[in-house]
Amino acid sequence: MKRFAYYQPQSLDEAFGLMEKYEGRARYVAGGTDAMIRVKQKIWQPEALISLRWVEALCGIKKTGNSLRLGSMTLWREIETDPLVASHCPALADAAPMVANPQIRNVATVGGNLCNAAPSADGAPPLMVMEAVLTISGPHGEREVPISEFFKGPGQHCMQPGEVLTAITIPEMPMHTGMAFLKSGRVTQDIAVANVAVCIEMEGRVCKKCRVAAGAVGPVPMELHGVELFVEGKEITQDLLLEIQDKAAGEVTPITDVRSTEIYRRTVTGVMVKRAIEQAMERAKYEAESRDVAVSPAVPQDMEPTVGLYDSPLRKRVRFNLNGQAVEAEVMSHKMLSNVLRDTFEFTGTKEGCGQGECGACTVLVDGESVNSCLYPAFEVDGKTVTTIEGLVGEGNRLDPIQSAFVENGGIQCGFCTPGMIMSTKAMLKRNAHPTEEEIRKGISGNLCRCTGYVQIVESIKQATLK
Amino acid sequence: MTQFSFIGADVPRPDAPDKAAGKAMYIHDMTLPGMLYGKIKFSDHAHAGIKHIDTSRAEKLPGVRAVITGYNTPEIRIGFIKDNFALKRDKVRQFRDEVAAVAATDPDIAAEAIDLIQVEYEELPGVFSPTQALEEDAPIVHEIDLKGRLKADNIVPVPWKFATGDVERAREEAAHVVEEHYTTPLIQQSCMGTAGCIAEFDLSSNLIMRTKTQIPFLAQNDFNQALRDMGLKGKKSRVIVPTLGGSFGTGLDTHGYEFISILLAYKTGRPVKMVFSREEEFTALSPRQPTETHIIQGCDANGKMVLRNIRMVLDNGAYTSWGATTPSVMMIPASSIYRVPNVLFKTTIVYTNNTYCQAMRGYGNPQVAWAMESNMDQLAEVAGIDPFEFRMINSNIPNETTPMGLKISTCGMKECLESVAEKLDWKSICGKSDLKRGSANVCTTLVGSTPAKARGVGMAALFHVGGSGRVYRSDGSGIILKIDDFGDVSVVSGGVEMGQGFDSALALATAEALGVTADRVKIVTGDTATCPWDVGTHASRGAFTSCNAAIMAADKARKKIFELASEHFMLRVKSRMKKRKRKDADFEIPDLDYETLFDPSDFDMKENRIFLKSEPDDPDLHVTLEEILRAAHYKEQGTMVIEEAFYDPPNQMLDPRTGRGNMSSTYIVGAQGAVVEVDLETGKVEIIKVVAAHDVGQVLNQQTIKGQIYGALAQGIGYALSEEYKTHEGRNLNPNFLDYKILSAPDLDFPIEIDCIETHDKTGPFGAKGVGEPGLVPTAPAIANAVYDAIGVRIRDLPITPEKILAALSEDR
Repeated sequence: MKRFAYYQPQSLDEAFGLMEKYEGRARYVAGGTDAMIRVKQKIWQPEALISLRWVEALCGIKKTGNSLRLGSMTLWREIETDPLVASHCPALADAAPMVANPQIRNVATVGGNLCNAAPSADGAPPLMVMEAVLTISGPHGEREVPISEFFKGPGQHCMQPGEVLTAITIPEMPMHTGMAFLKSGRVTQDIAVANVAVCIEMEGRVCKKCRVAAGAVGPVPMELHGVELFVEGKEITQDLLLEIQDKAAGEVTPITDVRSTEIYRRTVTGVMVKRAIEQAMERAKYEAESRDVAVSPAVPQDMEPTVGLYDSPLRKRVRFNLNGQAVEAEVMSHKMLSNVLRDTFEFTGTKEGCGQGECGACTVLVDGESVNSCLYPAFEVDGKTVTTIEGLVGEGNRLDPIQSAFVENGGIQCGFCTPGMIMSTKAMLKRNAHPTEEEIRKGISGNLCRCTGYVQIVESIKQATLK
Repeated sequence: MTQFSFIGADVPRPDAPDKAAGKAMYIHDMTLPGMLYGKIKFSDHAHAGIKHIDTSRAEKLPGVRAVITGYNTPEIRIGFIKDNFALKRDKVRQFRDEVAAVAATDPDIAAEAIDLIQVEYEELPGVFSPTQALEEDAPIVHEIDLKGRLKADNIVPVPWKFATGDVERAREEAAHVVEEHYTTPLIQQSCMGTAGCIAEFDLSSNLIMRTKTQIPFLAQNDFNQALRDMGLKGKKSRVIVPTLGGSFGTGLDTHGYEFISILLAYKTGRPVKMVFSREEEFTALSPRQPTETHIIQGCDANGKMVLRNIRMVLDNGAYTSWGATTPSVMMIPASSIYRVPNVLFKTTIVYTNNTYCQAMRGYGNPQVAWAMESNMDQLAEVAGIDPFEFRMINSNIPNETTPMGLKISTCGMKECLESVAEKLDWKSICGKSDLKRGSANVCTTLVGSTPAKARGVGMAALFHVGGSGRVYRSDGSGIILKIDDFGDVSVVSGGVEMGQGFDSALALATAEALGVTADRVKIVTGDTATCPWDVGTHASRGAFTSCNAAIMAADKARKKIFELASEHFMLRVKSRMKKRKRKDADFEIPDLDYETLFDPSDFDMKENRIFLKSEPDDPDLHVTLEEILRAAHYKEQGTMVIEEAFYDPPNQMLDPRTGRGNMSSTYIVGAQGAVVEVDLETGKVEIIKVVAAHDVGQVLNQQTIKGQIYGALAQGIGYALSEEYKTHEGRNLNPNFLDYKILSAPDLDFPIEIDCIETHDKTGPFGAKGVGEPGLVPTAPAIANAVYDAIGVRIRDLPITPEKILAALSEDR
């Protein structure tokens, strides 16, 4: 990996200033779960990365008037669990748990998902059908762009170098509106082969307004205007649904690649549009009956940044709490938390299995949440609390109840995935002490195991909940 | 039936606590003082001449300690037929060919140095499929053979053939014949812990090699040869095996990166560590061979099979590994699953400019089982017989020698088939989907708001080596038992724990055979300097051979212990009495003849306690193992108990001319089945339930045997539905878990039932057979058969993707 400077500005102006200084040879980074992979793979070779994590103005979910404002740095975990999102934007709430895996969602942001401008971005179709408006700030001011005009091509968007996506505003949906999001992947946990969002406003049995968007079936997440015009003003019958299916399949412009074929993407998009409309109609009925969900205020992020005071953007002294003890280390800007844990502190229990956030062997807890330490920039650990597998072992080698349960129930074979698996379990059980089997499996969906087939791991976790 | 103290228990494995705590040391976690980091420069082309390598810029980079190429290092030949070189000169034949390597003080510097090496190539046309490679005038991958003669074609000179009876005549006489073509893709083993090693020389130029391997002793032999190639005559290598993060066949060969690390370590005089990144693991390690199978099977009017004719073409890739011997294991089921009098099995292994292949769990059996067991259902259909009944009619039976010379001893195949059928509620599902070809119109079922789905059930059987497999001249495993004064038992073994539960099986077997409790047993493996020779942990043989060796060693140890007991038994009993008397004045020392010398054969030992066979429950007449050992050792002219045994199973090497020989001392059979639901609109296959019934001989540890079968099933389901190592003109297109899809926990959210059927094989340790590989052998055809039962469409090319199902459905309409 090429070395780069790493900055953690605390305001947008500071960020703009840095970007200007580097004259386009720097990049903003949000959660970094995609950016760090590109840097590792040398697809990006920036001189500097400018982290937006510490710009408070970009955080949080707020209700402003009748619309919902998502700060661009809102984590997917927050989207997934926020009651406002669940009540206002069910399609986005549907999409959230399908975005990557739990560890990634604890770090990755909704803004980052859009700014990647991947044709397959799961965040895009739901926001498109809700006609979200994006607020973009730059050194020369702020502007608003409808999301439909944001994407320009694979990896390309309408922002100028130096500009930052600051917020996503979702207008209030009229009465009798229903929406849905569906995704098709090769396996449960996958980048989309195709994804579809639908938002329809009904007037009796007739569709008054219809918005359909699909991802991974064109160079950008695309709105299916042909389908929309076809549906609006019509009664949605079973026959019409079949026509919709054909129209949607015809309107998208997918390609064949390593993940799927053009023809399959067309077909499955058609099927998903049909099914999403059916689901949205159901929800429109239900939604008309139960409006107004209690609004809980967004929890203010209580951060005490110790950042901004770097010795140099290449090397920094970080202080953090590691397994209950205050530690300090001098870290290089291009190193990840996994490097610091394994190389500096010799806590080699944290494994690195893929370096891309796919296998989860490097999972540790940062401030109690599971993250992939292989994608977590070392600079960002400053001021945090980190727990590794070693931190679960008590005095006299007393294993944590989760560790014991894995030992007792055959949840371990080669053992390489075990530390990450146990850390994900720890995070999951902290949030939900009595998960169902389905919840257990989703909770460890970001941890791959090649030996066990997961059966005895799931059994171990069930046993751990009984302790 | 024998009553066991430990065998068949459901107990945790001894290696689990360290792994749970993050304390197990994998190669990734090891560092040595002064250690350097090695990295390889791989080829930029699938087939090209090397014109020039410029390493000057890399050499000047601060932190770089060595840059090597094939031009400035001794030639080290590797590969099954030595057609490969650690570092390439003149020509590259695949993208993963090693053209240069560096050692540097830091992994980042090593990576940077690699980028500074410039190689000038002259691109050559390549061959990327066996069909292409076998065309006349196809570019030749290896221009000269091993003897230096010009090579005219791309055929790997390792032919495998077996013939019995007359398949042509049988075909004419058969009542029903089905002919079909099947393919399987490249599959990556996907160990969670990537491959790696640390090469180090001592000051006498002997090599210490820490490496991720399944064959420490065969690897030692290869490394010794490399030392000779390097001009280090009389120098020796020692192989140390760290904790393995899975292996699944990747450790069955020695690899280019290991020899390159050795060269770098020798050149720099420093330990050199080389660990693959995930991308390197995909692009530079050898996957499971892809195959093309042409199969013809036939049966008579009663459904009895009369012929099986299989021609397989294997895409070997650019060089040979031990993977070139997988047809010898394919031959076992090809000749012997079900009772078939006329068999022809022939393989052609072909060089291409694709990545070279290796064995993976199942050693060829998953590929041939895919064709045979899918085809079985086709034959059953044309014969008008239920697929389960058809398998029952043709099932193998105990105590029969097959035409290949395989001596089937125990055989629970019928029990396995019946178990699967019963657990899947076979009769109520099979053949009941109304979507079979030619029946209900598929399109009409698509209308309606509920997603159209069809349900089906399928099964497949397996036949695999269960009593090791003589791939090498020796099929042996050594064991040393060291029993110390404290009654603790070290079992020193040349086998390898790679996650499968080897240590647990060996500990339980030793405890049972010796008569101690399992907590007294410590398994010691992983060092060729201290451990006895073992041919390697492969072919599902680890527990089978090592436990048999442990039983032999334990018998010897018991003999010695009882000899010592005959001398010390009554003295120890008396001494205990006296001790008791000192503590308890009221205690009356029993009036026994404390001078008696018993015969060694009078003793027995169970759970660390030595007692008289005639008085097993006498509260006085017993001593502990440690009392006897301490008395025998800690005195003038004392002695210790250390015993060894070498077990080489009663099986045979295949006769290369006839393809005959009893390769394994017993065979494992089994059946698996699945209920699936196919979404007719999206083509997605949802598994509703999976059942696996295996004749395992005897369960050693319930927990670990289930772990083996569950894990193998998951790999088998991935093989069936999602895994495919994709290439374009020799380049891997999905070198990561983002696009190579192994299954995660939510993908396997359905009931999996396992039935371990015990037939107590007399060659197995306590009756057990090898179980490591078979669990994934029949999974894919079982699922394919279930898909066919659901929708009347047969997928012949793995994996069974929604894309293929929809394409086949639309063709069908």
